[in-house]
Amino acid sequence: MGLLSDPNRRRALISLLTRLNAPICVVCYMAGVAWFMGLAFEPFTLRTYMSENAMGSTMVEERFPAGERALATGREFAAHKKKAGGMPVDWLVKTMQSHGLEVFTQRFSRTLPFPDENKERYMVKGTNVYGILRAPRASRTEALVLSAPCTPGDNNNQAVGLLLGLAQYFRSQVFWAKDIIFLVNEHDLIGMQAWLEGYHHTNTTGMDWSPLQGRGGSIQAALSLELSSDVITSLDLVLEGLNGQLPNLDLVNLFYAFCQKIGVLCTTQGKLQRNDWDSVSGYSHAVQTMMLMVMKQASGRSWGDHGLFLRYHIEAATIKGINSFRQYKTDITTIGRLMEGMYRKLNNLLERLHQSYFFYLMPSLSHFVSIGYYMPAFGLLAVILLLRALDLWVQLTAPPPRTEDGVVDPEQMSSPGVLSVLTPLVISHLTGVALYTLPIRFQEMAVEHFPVSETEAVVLTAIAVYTAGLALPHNTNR
Amino acid sequence: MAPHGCSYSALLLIICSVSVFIVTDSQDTTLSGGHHAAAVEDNPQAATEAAEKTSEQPAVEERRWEATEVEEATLHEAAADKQDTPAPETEAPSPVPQPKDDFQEELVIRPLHSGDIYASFQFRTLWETDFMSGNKVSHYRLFPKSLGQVISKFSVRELHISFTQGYWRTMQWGQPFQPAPPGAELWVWFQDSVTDVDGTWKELTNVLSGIFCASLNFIDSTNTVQPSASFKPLGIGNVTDHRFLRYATLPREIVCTENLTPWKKLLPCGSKAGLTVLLKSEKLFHSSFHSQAVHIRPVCQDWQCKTTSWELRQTLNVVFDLHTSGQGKREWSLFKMFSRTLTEACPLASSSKIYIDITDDPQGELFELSPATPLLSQAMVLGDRRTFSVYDLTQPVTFGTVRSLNPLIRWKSSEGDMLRPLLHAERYVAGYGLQTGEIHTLMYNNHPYRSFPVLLLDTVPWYLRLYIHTLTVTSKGKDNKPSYIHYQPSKDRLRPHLLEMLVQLPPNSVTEVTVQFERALLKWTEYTPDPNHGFYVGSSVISSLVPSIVAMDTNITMDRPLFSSFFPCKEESSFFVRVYTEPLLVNLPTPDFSMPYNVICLTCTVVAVGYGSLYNLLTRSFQIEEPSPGLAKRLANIIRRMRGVPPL
Repeated sequence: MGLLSDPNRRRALISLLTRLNAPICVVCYMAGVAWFMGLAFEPFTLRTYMSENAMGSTMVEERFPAGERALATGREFAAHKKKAGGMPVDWLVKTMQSHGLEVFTQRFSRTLPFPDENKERYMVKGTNVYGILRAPRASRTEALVLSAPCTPGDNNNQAVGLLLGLAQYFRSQVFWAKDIIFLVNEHDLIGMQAWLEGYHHTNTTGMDWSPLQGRGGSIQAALSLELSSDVITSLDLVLEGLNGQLPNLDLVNLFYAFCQKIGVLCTTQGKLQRNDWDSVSGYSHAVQTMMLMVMKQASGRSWGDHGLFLRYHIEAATIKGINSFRQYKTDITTIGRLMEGMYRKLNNLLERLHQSYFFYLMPSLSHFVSIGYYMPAFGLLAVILLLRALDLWVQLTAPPPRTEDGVVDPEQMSSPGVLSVLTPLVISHLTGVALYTLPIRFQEMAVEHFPVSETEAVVLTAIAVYTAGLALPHNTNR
Repeated sequence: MAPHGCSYSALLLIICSVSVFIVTDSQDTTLSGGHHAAAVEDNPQAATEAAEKTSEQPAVEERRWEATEVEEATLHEAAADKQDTPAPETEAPSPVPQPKDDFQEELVIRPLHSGDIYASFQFRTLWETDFMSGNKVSHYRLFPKSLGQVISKFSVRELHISFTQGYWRTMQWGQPFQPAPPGAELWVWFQDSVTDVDGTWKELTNVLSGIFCASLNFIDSTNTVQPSASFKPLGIGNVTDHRFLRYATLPREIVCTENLTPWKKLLPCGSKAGLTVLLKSEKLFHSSFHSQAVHIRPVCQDWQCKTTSWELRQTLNVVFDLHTSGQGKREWSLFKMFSRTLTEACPLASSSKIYIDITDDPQGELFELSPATPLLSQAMVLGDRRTFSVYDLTQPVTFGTVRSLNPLIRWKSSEGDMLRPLLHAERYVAGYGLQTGEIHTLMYNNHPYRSFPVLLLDTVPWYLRLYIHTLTVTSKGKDNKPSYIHYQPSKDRLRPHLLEMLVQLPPNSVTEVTVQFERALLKWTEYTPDPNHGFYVGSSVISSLVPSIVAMDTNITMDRPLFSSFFPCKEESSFFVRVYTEPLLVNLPTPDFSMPYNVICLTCTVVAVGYGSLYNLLTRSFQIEEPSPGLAKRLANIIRRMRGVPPL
């Protein structure tokens, strides 16, 4: 700090900063972007590694044999689903009970905020069915969740079939130390949210749900399974949750480790990992994967059923089976073995997953960029703001240029007061409040008076608020 | 006790045909080891009424068959059943002088509706001695010396200790014979001669920790409470001042072979003969539930109750799982459960029996029991009239020609519904985030038309700061005001919260008790080595007198004599039940005890230093100061001033 204490050097530094402000900002910007893009370059990133000791050293042997039977169960489920025209609750309850689980159901309903084409508010009603495998000699303090959504149409029957098959197989094993909850949720995220709210007895979304009868203690980890075909070519891991939250990186490592062990193609963001990192196409592939992850997180929405678990401090991910028309096919027994392996390792956990990173980006499944590596890029971008502010500040305090006649303009001498800052501050806060409340408030009014639908009314109000904001700098007397 | 007709007239014939002597024997034996209340009525608090008769199972003896009833008034103890379960000496006419101590062993096997099987061992040693009088007791025969010394040294009046691995699933399995919470539970009543109860308790837990190879030494003032109503003495005695009671649980305790071995060593026959040969750890710990316990209490010696005996009851309960037992066949035998069969009784035991619960299957339709036994016994167990097949191991006939006994239960169909348990409870933590939370305790009264009071005991560690003003008790959507609340607030790092309530449960309802809490931030040395696992909160204890199932059917369908059934009889009207909820695992705000944590600490230090200097720079004003002149120059200036010349 001696550098800054010396008034001469200080003056020199300040003059340098003010003189070269624009070029420095440009350089910082370029450096920031370059740094960020460089993160996708494989030699600059770290390989993933298992941090959690409880999952690392103990190898497990996967023996799940009943893939064919799981598929048959899935077809049976599909038939019952078609017959019931929704969730075949009774059949699921009976099947789970016959597999030796404690079965419970939960009903829920929620009126959607926007009406459909027929101008009718749509009330979503559904039932979640879940069975709890009680671990022998465990005291109901910890649980793992395996969920599969029951979606309309022909989707996801195989996932429910595999879930039931795994339930039956897991029930006959003795090594469980945590209860395992097998959940079939209806209406995707709505059902999942209802179940989670019921389990934790909270209500953040104003949903109606019937209270849960059976619980398994605090949930340590959860996986959501989506499978829509009998054979798959690859498994896709979806991580991005609500508000861009991510599960612990060890969950990703676990998935990747088992994919490698069993020999299943695995992807993230639907992109396979490539070996040609030194080629341009390989690099751009990694950049695409990473940027997709950034975009998905920025969107703030949950990209799978798992995303809602993260709020409750439960590490969760969605595993999607993808069937593209490639040569390499994996049958359902192999996926069952993969799931078995993952659950057995999660079962070995002594603590919640906490050893590895919670903030990371993935240019591929085997490489990750930790927060320590990507934050400098953001820092470089943010420092531009600081430099600009510094420039303005220096200009304010610097002695005003003398006019030709050597008289100092008294108007320029007076520095602007605090009150002048207050106006834009208040106005920007008011804008925020308006954006938060007005769209919903004006929703009904707009529909009454203008020929717009409710969805459009919300968007138009938001646009109106923004447009009003454009006029602001002129109003703030600057 | 009204003699009531039974529907098993065919069986009656068979029974009458066998030795009358044996039947009496089986009849009088308690099945459930009812830890009977010392019905101490001197507690002034009306609120604790429900807990006063702390009989776990009012093992009401049934005198069913007139023909066999009046065989003999058993000599010394049968009459003591007013207070306590008798252990009748069936060898009463034997010429040998009655030994001062007595040992009995029994095993109850109950097939459960879920297809699992429940085996409950009880070993009871009775000794007519007095540890408390001045002379030192030094001649031990059947009673374990280690425990005897503990009793006399620490002036223990009652000691109950249980080690449990797993949670009893009341909804699937019904009520257990001996309820116990997951982990270790210890409660002790001291003699009123003890002055420093806390010090004695501390020493006692350390000694017991050594005897049972368990971490009981972790019991300290932060997890010890003195319940005012929930735990009453089960033996005789008239002191119910809860200053002499200490209760503690360790929900985290893991129970395994190292706890089983010392437990087995307390038995007279060790694991060498009798029922104990079945207790092999490789099978015992291959189960859904495992609970072992030791209960010591004083009981009456005879019906006049002039002198007391000491009773040591060792129990072991285990539930075997159908699905993990290999083949899917619904079939259980002693060999399949324990991979051993029985060849003899313990030679030191005065009685050695196996009971198999066949209540659900009176006609032999549901399952088949082989080898068939002619002996039957009926008893009131947990408010229900149960029928048992009895194998008497002291009779050589029992072992048959193959010289080994291996009872086998084979199901013919898996029909049948279980009666829902009248009382059960569950508990969970609600909310998310690491700042606050809410404990919900749900108590279910499944009785169709009767309400009954329950005593709820909650012990919560200090690091969950209960907001007691948020305590609500609701049933059927309405506020349910507890008639008695005993709350002792916690002191940080000293003692836990203790909350006892007497709540009336309306019929066919769920009562929900909620209380909010805040999670405390611990000092960094107070975290366990695995802080991210979470911290345990012990089970809540719910004690109640529940209306019995027998009294539930007012419209008696069984062919009992009409005159016997107008007024519901007192003995059957209610029974004592203690229900434990599951323990809770609560995550506290935890610093990241890892390398990044250290890095963050270091970075924060660096930032703080950097910020300090930057702030310094921003606030300091700079002025150019003339360098001070040297000594010579100053001297020269003084001289010049004196000369009137301008200075240099």
